[in-house]
Amino acid sequence: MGVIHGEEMVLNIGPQHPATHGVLRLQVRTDGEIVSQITPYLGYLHRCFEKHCENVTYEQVIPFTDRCDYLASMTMNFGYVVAMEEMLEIKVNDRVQHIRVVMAELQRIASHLLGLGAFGLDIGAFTPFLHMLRDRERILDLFEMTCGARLLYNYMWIGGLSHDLPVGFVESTYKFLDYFEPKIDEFVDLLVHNKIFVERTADIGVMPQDVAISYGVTGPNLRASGLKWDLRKDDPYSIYNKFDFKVPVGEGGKGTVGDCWDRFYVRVLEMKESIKIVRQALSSMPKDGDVHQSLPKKIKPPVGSIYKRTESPRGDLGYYIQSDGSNIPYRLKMRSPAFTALSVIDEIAAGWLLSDVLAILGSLDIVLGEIDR
Amino acid sequence: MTVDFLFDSLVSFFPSWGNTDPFLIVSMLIPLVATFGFITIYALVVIYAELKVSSFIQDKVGPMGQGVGLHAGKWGLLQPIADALKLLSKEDIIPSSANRVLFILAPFMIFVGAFISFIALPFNSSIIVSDLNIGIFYILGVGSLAVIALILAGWSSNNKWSLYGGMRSAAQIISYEIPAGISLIVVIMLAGSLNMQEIIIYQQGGIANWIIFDNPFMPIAFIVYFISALAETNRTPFDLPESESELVAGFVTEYSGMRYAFFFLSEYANMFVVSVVAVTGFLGGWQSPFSDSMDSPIMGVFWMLSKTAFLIFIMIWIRWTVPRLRVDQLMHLCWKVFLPIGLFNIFAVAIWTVLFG
Amino acid sequence: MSADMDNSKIIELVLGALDGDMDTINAIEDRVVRSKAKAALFKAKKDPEGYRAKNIVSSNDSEPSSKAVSNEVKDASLINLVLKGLDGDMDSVNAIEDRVFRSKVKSALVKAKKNPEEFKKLNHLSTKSVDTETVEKTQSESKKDSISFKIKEMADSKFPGSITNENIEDFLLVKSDLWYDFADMLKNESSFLFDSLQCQTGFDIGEDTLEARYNLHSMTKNHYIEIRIQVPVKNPQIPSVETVWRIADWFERETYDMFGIEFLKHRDLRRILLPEDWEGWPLRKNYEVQETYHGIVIPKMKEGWE
Repeated sequence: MGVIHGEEMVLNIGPQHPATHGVLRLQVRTDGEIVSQITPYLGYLHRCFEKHCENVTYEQVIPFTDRCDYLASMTMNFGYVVAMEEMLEIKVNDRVQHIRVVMAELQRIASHLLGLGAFGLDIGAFTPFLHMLRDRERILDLFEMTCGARLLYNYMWIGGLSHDLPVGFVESTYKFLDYFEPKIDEFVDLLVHNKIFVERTADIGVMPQDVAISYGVTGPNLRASGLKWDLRKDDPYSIYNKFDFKVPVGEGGKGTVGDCWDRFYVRVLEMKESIKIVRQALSSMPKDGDVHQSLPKKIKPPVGSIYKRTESPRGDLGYYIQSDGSNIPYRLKMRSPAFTALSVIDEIAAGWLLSDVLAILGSLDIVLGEIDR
Repeated sequence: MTVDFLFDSLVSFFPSWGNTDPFLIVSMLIPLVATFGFITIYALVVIYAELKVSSFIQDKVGPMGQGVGLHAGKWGLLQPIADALKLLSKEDIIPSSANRVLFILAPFMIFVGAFISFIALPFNSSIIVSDLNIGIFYILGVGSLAVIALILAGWSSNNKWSLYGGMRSAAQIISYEIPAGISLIVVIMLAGSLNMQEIIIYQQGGIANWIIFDNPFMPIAFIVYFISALAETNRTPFDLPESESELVAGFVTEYSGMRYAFFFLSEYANMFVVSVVAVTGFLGGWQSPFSDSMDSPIMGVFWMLSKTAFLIFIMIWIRWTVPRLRVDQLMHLCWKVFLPIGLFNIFAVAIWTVLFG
Repeated sequence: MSADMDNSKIIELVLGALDGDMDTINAIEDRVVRSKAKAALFKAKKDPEGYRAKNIVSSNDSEPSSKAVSNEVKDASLINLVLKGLDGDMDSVNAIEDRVFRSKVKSALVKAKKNPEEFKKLNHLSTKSVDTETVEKTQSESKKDSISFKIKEMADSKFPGSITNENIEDFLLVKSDLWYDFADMLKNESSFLFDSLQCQTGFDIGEDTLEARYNLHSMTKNHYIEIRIQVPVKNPQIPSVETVWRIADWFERETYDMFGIEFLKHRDLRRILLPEDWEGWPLRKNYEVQETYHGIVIPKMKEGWE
């Protein structure tokens, strides 16, 4: 069987492109419609986050961490604050811990809503995107009620929080959860089992488990490949070991384990688990406790370093902080989960059609702010 | 009004003029201008309908206004006019490395392809610009002009993304003409003629006589025709050529202003043509569903337009609900699913008609 | 280089001045060095302990402790002295010869005095005194201890002299030319199975040394280790481990981009976050940004902005 070879066409997806979730340039070599090699070019959003952190104090780093992954700011703050509190050996009171968990899980739901909606938009389903944004607006309303900001919160401080919960927050959150739970089922009906959607995503971009581990992929992407690894259960921080929730793992519901459909469905199930955690945290939250109780007067950690990982909606978020005894970090490195998720794209997307490459990129749920810092 | 009717009436009005050629030209111009006016008004209406229907599906409100003034009119009715004015006033950009002649030619060609199929559409027993003997065949034929226009648009923009869009769309339209044509063959078999008015008259007598209810294989033919028609007009789920998130804007990436407007005007015009053909062939045309009551020339126009509006509403509904097919899945659907079904239909309908009359 | 000699000399002078010796500084001929020393002294006076800790420790080349365990609590004799001080016996504290250790004991005493019962409780109970937090943490610490000891054992047998630090509970300092084989051993050896490289960072620790730190984790066995490799600034070369852990490809490109550490045998070592033709290694402490980039002037001071 003879194969006709034409010349390879070199195409640039981005940096301005509606589907690339930020400014990302993918240089793609294609033979007709089949892609043979993908080279990502980063750095369009590099804002020298790590160099900034070497010039500001430890408290002033927190707004910078907000802006790295702007779609999940609470969890960025959370990771940094947990690392610093371990380094300084500060223990915060129970109320602060509960509020932090509530905020982090609500943020996880909001981030997954946007990621799934944008993925649907890439596939061509316009309506679920708008439905998810509508529900996300309600979560952002809750956040605005608490700290005044809709996207970049600067909410979790070292040793406490910036604001206590306002009056009426708990009732509003319960109302939101009751409203939102049936919406997930509605969404599952609309998109997840739709035949066209399944054909576009099942068996596409399969990521085997060993490839995922070697490339450092973590979070929902790794869980979709079948490995049950969740930092909230396997390396618990804060008070996550008090809550009862399952960790959804991809099982190849419509195709092979680790395809785009699995990565999508794991995120849908995770939203349901987050709702459970928020309910448990709200019901067991102590009524009294000052959120500013353990704020340190001076932050001067002892000389040393620490590497602490927490679970952000995109994977393992790691902060490596080295201090030299003064109130300014000597070096702060943020290990971003989307960075490792993007590195795997050449491995799993080569050999598919051009539409599939965009579907795979959407299923990895990357945010360029975190990759470029 | 047919051209002949106008010509005869003009001649009888001015019997003293010797040369009848100007009458011929005038009697051809009037229907063309009327058709063009109809298309414009129809485009405004359907753009408004699409905005509102999509907003309701997506849980938004769409264009709104509190009254005539600087807002978009009461209920947003002035929005399509605002859109049209905006497109007219945009800067006309032609990329410097594009092929100027072909770049400018492409939108005109695609509009011509949509426009000239309007002359065979029956609105009424007497309102039809030209009652061709080969009505349906003619419409299917001139619909292919769009393919050339799309390839020209994709290639002349000198842009890899437009090229992708143009190639995909050409492959798609050419492939889907076949199931569309095959589904219409069963209609022609039953009605015994290619003439649009004769097909409609074959279905007279109320809803039970419509071709779609004639035998159990006709609904299948209707569905195959409808989906192939969606593919011909580049609507979702087959809007790969102009898909927003993949190819930026496909083959219309480099077009701006009125040229861009022409592409979308012709897409809506194509939707109308295809719906009218479906209504004519399967749903009884301008006949009323209640046999011989509510049947007058004015009601004929009403029935035709309402049935067409219903089908266009379904097209808009499908667009905002269902995701997009990939190129090879699209081709698979056409060649491996619709074509065998269409061929099977022909045999089945023929055998049924012979056995059961 | 003269700048580095000046640097260490300045540290020496400042340390002396913190203890009261101003004559040496005032006696310096070179005006530049004298003014530098005085400026450094002014800064150091704001936080003498921290300055001492930073500079005495780094010049001794023994690594400061990591993982949030304060220095004071580790040493058993230190605990004894603090307990004595809490009971009122200051003589033994004041009698310590070593200036650094004495200051450590004194600052620990100040801390302990804030909450004496707590301190006594913690330190009477834990004899190991490595860890003062929960029991699970102690167990995981001892697990980690044992994994580092196991690694050191095997490394000493296969690659003698590869690990060059003493406090191996916190991290392992590996020689750079043996790193590739060491990494192979860490990944493939059945008792270690470190299959995931969590994070790879570059550090500029002063004294003309760059460092690369690797945080490794095993998904199958759930243990964790940190590896550090030091290289001199003049010739920063480390063998690349991108064939062992595939993510090292991008992590090493980022470290190269920010610090200039070259990774040998990397298949495509080029800048990842900055443009290809950028000059300089930004995260080094002595980085000066370039004047213009493709004709765009890069403003250095805020006053220069309009």
